[in-house]
Amino acid sequence: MKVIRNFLFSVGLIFRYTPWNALFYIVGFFGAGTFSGIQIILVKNVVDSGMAYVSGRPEALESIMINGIALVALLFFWIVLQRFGAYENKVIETKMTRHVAADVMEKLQKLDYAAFESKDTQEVLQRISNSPWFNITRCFDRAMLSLQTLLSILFVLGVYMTISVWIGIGLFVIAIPMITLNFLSTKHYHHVLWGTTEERRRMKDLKQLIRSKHAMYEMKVFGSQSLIGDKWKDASGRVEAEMKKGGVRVLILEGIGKLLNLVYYVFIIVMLAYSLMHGAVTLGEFVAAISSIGSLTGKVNGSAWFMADAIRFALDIEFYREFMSLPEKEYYGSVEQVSHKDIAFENVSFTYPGTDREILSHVTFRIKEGERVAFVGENGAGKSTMIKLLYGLYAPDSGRVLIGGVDVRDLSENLRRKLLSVVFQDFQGYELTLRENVALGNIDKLDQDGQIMEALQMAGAEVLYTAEEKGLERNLGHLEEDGKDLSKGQWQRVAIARAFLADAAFCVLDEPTASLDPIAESNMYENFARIFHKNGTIMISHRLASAKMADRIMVLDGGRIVQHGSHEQLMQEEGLYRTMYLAQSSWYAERTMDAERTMDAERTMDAERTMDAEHTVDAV
Amino acid sequence: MEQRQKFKMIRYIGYCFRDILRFTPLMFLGKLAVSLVEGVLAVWQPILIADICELAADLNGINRIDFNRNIFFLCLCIGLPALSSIITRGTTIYNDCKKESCYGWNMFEHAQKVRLEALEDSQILDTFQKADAAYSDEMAGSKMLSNVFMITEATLICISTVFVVGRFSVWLIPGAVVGCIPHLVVTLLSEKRRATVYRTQSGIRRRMQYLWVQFCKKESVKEMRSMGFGRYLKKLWVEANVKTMRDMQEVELRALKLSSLDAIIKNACYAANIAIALFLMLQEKIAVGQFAACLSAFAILQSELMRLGNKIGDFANSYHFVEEYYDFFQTETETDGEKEYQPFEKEIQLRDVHFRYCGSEKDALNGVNLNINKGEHVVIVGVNGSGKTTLSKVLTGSYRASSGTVCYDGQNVDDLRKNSFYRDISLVPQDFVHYNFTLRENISISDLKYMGDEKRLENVVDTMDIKELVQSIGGLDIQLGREFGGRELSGGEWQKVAIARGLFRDSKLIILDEPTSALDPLMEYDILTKFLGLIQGKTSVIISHRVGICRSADKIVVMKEGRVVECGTHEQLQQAGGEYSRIWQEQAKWY
Repeated sequence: MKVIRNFLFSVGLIFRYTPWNALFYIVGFFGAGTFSGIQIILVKNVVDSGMAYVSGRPEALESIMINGIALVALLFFWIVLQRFGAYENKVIETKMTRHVAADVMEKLQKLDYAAFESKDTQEVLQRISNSPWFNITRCFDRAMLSLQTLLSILFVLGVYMTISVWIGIGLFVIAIPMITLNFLSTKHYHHVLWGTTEERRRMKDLKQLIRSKHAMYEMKVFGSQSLIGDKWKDASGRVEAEMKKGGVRVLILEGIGKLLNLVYYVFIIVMLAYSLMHGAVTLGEFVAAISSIGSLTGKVNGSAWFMADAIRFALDIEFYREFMSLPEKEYYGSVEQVSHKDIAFENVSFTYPGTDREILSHVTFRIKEGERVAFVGENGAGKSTMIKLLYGLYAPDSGRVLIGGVDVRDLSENLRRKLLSVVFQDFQGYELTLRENVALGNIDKLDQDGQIMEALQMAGAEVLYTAEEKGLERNLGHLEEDGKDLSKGQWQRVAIARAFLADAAFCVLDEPTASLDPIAESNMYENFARIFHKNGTIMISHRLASAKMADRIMVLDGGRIVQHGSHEQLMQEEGLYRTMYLAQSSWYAERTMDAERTMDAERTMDAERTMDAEHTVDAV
Repeated sequence: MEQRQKFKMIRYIGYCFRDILRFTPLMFLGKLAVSLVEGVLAVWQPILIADICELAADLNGINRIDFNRNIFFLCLCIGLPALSSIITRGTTIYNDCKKESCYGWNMFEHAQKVRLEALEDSQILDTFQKADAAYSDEMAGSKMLSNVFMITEATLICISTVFVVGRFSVWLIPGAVVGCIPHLVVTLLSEKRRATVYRTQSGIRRRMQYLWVQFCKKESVKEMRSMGFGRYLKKLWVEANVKTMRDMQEVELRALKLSSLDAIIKNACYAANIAIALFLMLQEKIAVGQFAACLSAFAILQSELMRLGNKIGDFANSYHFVEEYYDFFQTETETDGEKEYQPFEKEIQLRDVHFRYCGSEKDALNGVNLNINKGEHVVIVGVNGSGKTTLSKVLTGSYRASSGTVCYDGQNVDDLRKNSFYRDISLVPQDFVHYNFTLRENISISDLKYMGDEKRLENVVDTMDIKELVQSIGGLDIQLGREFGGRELSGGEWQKVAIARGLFRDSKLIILDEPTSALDPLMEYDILTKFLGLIQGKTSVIISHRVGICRSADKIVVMKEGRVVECGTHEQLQQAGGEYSRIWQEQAKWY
């Protein structure tokens, strides 16, 4: 059922996007399908008329000419149609790529952000990230091919019928089980080739190891090749055994099918020969029928193969349908102007979809335009989640997230960009040119060389364009031959330049997870505060030292804001902030008994914290 | 270049045949047999038809014995190819069964010999991936073999069919031959053009795939949505797509035009041939039966030509994968030393060691001089990219220094047999591996000979405090990894397993490279101090970018831009007021 539904779906899509090409393709294809039948008739006529002519009937010459010319014309069209079909197929593929890609892209942009983080949708997204359109065109193509060959077989059978009813009937009796067997064996064969089993997954996992430099390093030093090798042999042995088992079944089915095939051919030949001897068939019919038998084998095999292929692709389309039915985001912001630029969280609670743990619970705060705020707290306290809410990537379960009194999800994309820019925890380096990498922060400024360079200067990365001959046009990453990768720290500067170029009312710096050495990291915070001194900033960190430069510090714990105030105020209070601060600074204080004790306390606290963080990651 | 390419092709096809004969001789024989049988039968068929027609047309009554014999042959002629497809499929399945244990194992063995430095190169990693896909998904060798056989078979059939027809009358030869030539020329031309365009497009395709993935990845989608540059990336993708598609379509359109032209010529020849045959028959130069046989032979010629054209295209395609598979074996391998290693008793000495990564313009290590005495605990500190990790890999001889020497009591590591040398070294690398094996294997993989040693395992489990973990998983012998029905460990748990792994190995020198994964700074400290407590009696090298750990070290080595800039104890270096005290100040000033 699924196969038929998906097949119809692919046909529908193809007709929607390339109706004419598809029509040409089908007509051309099915036209060509009848040709092998017609060929038999024409050959028969030519030979028979030839015989007649030789035996002294000169009027047969006309018939020879007509049939002969028809035969040549037929073959000509056959070849041209085949080529044309192949061409049309390419055109369909091209057009489908364009249209389906546009569809998918649009869908991806409308997709609710939760889908990108949810574990359930990862597989679908994985498939979508790998040219999803091919499966649709291939499913269509293979289905058409199998139909065409089937039609062509039927047509040939029909022509045999006209030669001798017995041959026709005998054919039907044998043909049906024969084609079924062929199909079954092909289907099993496909399963043997492409089925996924535990053994194959194991194999894949092991293959992963020899491609990893880290694994090779360990393997060499530990001398653990023998273990991996044993596992490899074991897994490949089991894959082999499993395939052999499947293979034997395929061969048995195949054998029976082909035996029937043989019986069927012998039957035709003997029948024809017998009839020829008794004058029931003419020599022309005999020759025409015999020379077409061979091509029939290919057709029977081909139809089974194409059909199994079509089914495989049809099943594969399922992921596309699944993708297209993923939930879309509900808000499309339209507000273009706000009266003021304060950020406000009003009683916001949030739980990630599909999880139980409340990440934020009744969070309320307000950040004034131009204010410099730091959020501190343990891993998993909800800091990064808050940023996602601020960007409207997720909607709060209850409460409101407002900028300038308007719900962030109602802000137009344009306005939001003017209000907020961000350097995410897992900021990305794009394998584009340096210019593009920076301009992604505000794509309207793609041509503003001055501003781009200024942004890079501010981020302390002018060396990136001064050191290279190509300046801003240099390629970053390995995608282009002349491209060079940047170090993590350099990428981070590019990300900051990106945020600077955006020149938004607020800039958010989420604590980078990638390992920067502590100096680089501290410098980064310092730099950040300096660059954005004119804008409002929101810094997120668990390294408390960097929070000191904020006007106001908010301490998050267990999804709530437990403390807020300036560094000095918070240090005077007895509370989480003070404990954490002392714990972290003791690292650099001279080691005293006191410090040791704090360190122990931290250590336990810290272990819990990491556990929590891991849970969150797992949950998400 | 062109010449080189050709030689390479011949060489690779040679490799391919060698491996097929070595791994799956049965497949080779099977395919060869099928090709031979099919080839002979295809030529025989028109001859038989001619004979049968001759007999049938004989007005003096049919010679039954000859007729029956010929009919029997005809049954064979048409029936056997039907059966031969069983053998074809059998050989394919056989080859498929063998692929992992032969071609895969081949790769595994070669991969072990590849120099570790080479794996830093993303292009080389790419060849790994391609080679894997080439043999496991594309069955490169077997497909190429089939194509080679089929091309040979089709060529032979074409030639012998022309020959058979020529036997009836010489006049039929020119038409048959002339009909073949344009087809072959057109096929070769089109294939060549297709291949060239495809090759020139490969860069653009990679870019498109890269851009496309950005739309599906949460990290980039997050930025795309918050900064609003989705439209721009989309534009880039669409432009690239339009261009590749346009080029491809152009090539196809040309191929279509060419092949139409070819079809006209071919069919004109075909028509001429039928006319000639007819004329000859009317002139009674050939018999009716022979005329009928001619028709059959021409049909065979046509279809074999088509097949030949298709198979040449397929061959180019399958060769491409053969190339990818054997390209992998061209990656540079390492050379092992010959001397047996004598455990060092005094010191490790690095003298003016340089090291440069492939494709880099700067030395990662730029003249390192260092002594490590036996039993010392050394901490190497320095900022990101100062060469700490590289130094540790050169120290263990995993990376070969481009110049300078690394000596253990005067034994140069380059000269040592790696197996004997590594016997004494253990490590906890920066990016340790998460094996989807059992916990027991994950720990004892560092020293396989103790895998069954419960005491030893228990010891290490106790010292690392992972007893609870073992219990929660359900024992040491439970499979890990969600994909295999086991549990997934968290980052902190893996870190402990990795250290347990490093300690499990019987060693005199242990190297710990600080994890890059996002561990909490304090958790990191905790793990490091624990580690320090466990390695008494061994020589140890700890790589860290946190100076907090340094106070308990015997020697601190400060790295900067690939050089050792300072060396000494915490107190000495603090007083010296150099790079170390600068780093210390930098880190401490925040508190």
